Amino acid sequence: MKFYLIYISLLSLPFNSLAQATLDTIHLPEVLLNESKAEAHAIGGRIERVNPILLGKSNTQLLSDYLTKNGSVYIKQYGALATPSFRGTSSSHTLFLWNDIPLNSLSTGLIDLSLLPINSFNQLQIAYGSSSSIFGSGAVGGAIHLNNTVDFKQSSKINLAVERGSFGLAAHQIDLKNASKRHFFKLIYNKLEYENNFTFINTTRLNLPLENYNHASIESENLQSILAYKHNKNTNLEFHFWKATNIREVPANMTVSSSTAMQYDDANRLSINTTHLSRIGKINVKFASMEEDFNYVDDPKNIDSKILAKSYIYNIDFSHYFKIATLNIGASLINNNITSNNYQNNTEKEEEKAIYTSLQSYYKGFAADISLRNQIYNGSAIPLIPSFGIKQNIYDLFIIRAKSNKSFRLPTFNERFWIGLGNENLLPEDGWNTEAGLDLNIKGLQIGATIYSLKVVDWIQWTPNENGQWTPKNIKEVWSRGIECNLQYKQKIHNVECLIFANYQYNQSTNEKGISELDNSVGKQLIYTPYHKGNFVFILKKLNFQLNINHAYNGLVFTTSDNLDLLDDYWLTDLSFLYEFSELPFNLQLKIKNMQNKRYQPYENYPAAGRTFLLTLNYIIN
Amino acid sequence: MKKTKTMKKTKTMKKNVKKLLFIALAITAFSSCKKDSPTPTFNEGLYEDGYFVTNEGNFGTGNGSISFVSDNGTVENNIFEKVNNFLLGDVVQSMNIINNQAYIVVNNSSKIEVASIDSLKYVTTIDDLVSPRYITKVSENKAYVSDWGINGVQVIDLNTNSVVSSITCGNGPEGMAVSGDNVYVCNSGGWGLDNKVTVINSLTDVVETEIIVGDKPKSAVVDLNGDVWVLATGNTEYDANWNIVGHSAGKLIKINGSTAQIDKIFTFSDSTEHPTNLIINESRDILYFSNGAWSKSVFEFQINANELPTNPLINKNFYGMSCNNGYIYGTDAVDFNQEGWSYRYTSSGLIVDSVQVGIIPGGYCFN
Repeated sequence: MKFYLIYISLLSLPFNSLAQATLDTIHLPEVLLNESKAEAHAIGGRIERVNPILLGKSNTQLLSDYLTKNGSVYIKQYGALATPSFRGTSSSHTLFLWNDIPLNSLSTGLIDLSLLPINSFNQLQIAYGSSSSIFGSGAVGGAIHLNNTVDFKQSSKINLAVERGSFGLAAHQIDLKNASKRHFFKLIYNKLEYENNFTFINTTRLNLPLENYNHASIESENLQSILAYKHNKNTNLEFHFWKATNIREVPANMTVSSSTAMQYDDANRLSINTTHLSRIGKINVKFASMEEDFNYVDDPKNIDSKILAKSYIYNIDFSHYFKIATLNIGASLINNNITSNNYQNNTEKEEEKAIYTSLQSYYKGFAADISLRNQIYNGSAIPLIPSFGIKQNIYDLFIIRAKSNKSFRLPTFNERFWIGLGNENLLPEDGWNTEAGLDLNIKGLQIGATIYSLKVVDWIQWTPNENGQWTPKNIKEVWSRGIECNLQYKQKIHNVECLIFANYQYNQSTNEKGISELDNSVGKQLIYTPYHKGNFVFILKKLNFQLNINHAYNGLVFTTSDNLDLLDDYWLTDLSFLYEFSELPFNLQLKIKNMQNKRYQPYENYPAAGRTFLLTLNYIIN
Repeated sequence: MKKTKTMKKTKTMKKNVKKLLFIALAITAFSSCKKDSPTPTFNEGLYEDGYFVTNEGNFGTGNGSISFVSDNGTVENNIFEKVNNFLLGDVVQSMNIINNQAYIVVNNSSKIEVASIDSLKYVTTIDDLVSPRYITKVSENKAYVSDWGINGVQVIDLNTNSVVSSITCGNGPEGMAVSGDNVYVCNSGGWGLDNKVTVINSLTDVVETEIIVGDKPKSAVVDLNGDVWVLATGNTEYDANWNIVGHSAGKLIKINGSTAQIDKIFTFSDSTEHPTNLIINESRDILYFSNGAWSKSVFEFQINANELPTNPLINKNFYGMSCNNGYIYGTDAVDFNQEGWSYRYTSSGLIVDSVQVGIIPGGYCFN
């Protein structure tokens, strides 16, 4: 019952997009200690703080699955990988931050969203456009901020969860939490075993046989631990640890009868940070150690690719609070070190140094952010990364906003050091994003619209060189433009609450530069970039019962750069029912994914699961 | 009065909630019915007067295909799928005509599709292959398939179209040439390095000998005298820290077909060039090759010449090359992610025409 109340109170958290307005003016220490840097830098831009009600109760809910069906990010899925594409940019143009620490692979620049169970985290923010470019490389199309925040409110909780699903899914989770005014402790351990052996119609074979998806199993374990200590009202210390082990069979496309590839992704992530508030301001010192151990093996094909990447990140960040403004300055030092059998020197090292500063000012309903990042990479400075954003609240009814900023993506280790193919002379990719938006707020109804234009030059592409070997070059230019619309509506009558969330995005991303006279891709839409994407969520809550219906639309995508081949668009419907037992410390969720058993291809010649059932039982002791 | 108003409001809200639920469910119903069912078409004899281009397609996506270019210049793309109503597969490496049937080697799908040559109608599939590259007929009832996955050749019984045995060669068996009873298999090095040609007696399926020819031999042809010409592309050499420290030169090697001994070696003077794509004309007296893939030129070599040519015949790079009926053919894959092109030149190096084919055109097959 107690849990139920907490749950309800979580659900009734204020909707996100105007929540910033309150942060703008109130400067209480408690708020400052936990303030979101991402949101501060997103002034004028679009940032979405995901409402927990949309995430459900399943501990196997992956970030890839959530984003496929919610919001304006397109998720590319193939083999074992699921990567995001914001505003028509490529997969390496999304910066992924865990407690403000970048998790993008040093070797590929990518983040695999199919390795991230979102319900192990308590805050998910999605920044569209380049507003997170102050955090570093890769925030060209957007950024995902996944955080574990701490609170010092007396509470303790044990949550045991068991999950069973179609196609051999079994998952277990233990979630422990204990907090007082002085300390905070949280431990989450989960284990997933998933055979993933759904049946599909093999549309690539004669007579369209019904086949079993083979060699697609997943075994993953995540252990997360958070320890925080509050020394006094103004000082605290946080310790975050995250160990992940993933063993995946890599399935092949439908034209290949069997696959033998295996992928192992292990990670050890550690971050320690301390925050101190004083009359001068707030200072935060952070150290993080990241270790990613990747191995891709395909024995019959003689492939054994090993990458061991280590990063040590040192960051100091200081904010001074004026009456109507906040001045922030910081510096980062990152030591990257990769050992791989794919690189020219078995081990490659580099050092990144960055300084950044920003000024946010707030006056009545007006807010502005101006920021600048200067980064030295490989011993030379890359051009300054400026950002400027403003917003104005008008009669507490609507907000108009605008933002313009630069972003960059550093060449990855693969692009620079791959044996015989890497190009050490690559320049960072260069992006410029400009956007304007309007957010309306009328009695439980919120509507937002953002138009944007994003240009990326020196886009790195692999092409054959004069010796016929593939090598990356800064040759591509892309222009993305479009509109993103979002709507939220909440209505409560007696004990029935109804919530609606809707998103729609129109995006046109065109290749602006050809590689030869014959190149038919100039002016054409980029591959795997839908013009249209949208979704509609309907939630009904009554007493102990909650129903979620999500219709998600993924528009058609082209699979070739001349736009002659395409994959059809598709609608997917997910349903979930949640029941909170009033007398017992349980809640039970039944989720039906792809309710209509739709056959579709998320990637050319890769099948997707049909109707999938997922049952989650949570046992909670407070 | 006030109470009634509230109640009314509540009622409308309830109605609204119901309406929304209805809309939500209605979308579910609407979005659940859409299907397309293509019907297969068979056109016997359609693919007799012209030639085929194999289009690899993008690795890992299964969009490899076959294009047919008719004698009057019209192109039909994706013909295998159109005729048979299923996809050919992942990385269509090569195609050969054996005993009046088309053998299409699909590398990453680990198979060979057998089809009728006049209509490309599906006959059967040869499985039990790992990473097949090329197929060559070695006797009336037997063919060899070079297979990187086993570092050897797979022996195919052409009556049953199945793998009956395998023969171990060197690393990365690639191009093959048949002279008399001997089959010369180029060991390209695959994912590593090799410098040998394996000679197999096709009557016994036993390795007769190995000939060291030069680093990375990839293609071989047989001339009118039955002699075998092998093109070794040469290797890029790295030191212990994987810095490029040098190149081993490309070589054109002539092997006597009757003795299986090296007759002549022509070494390319510029060792940074790595020649590739050795082909021979129909009268089997002129060789053509490129002095480096993609960005280089095409050269001509008379089989009794005493030195390598210095002036190119065609100043254009090709991804794949072939020769037929007095013409030289070459492909351009553009950005490797869109429909590529096939060019036709006269034997004197003048362009005749070009046609647009499938994704990553890499090989030819002439009827």
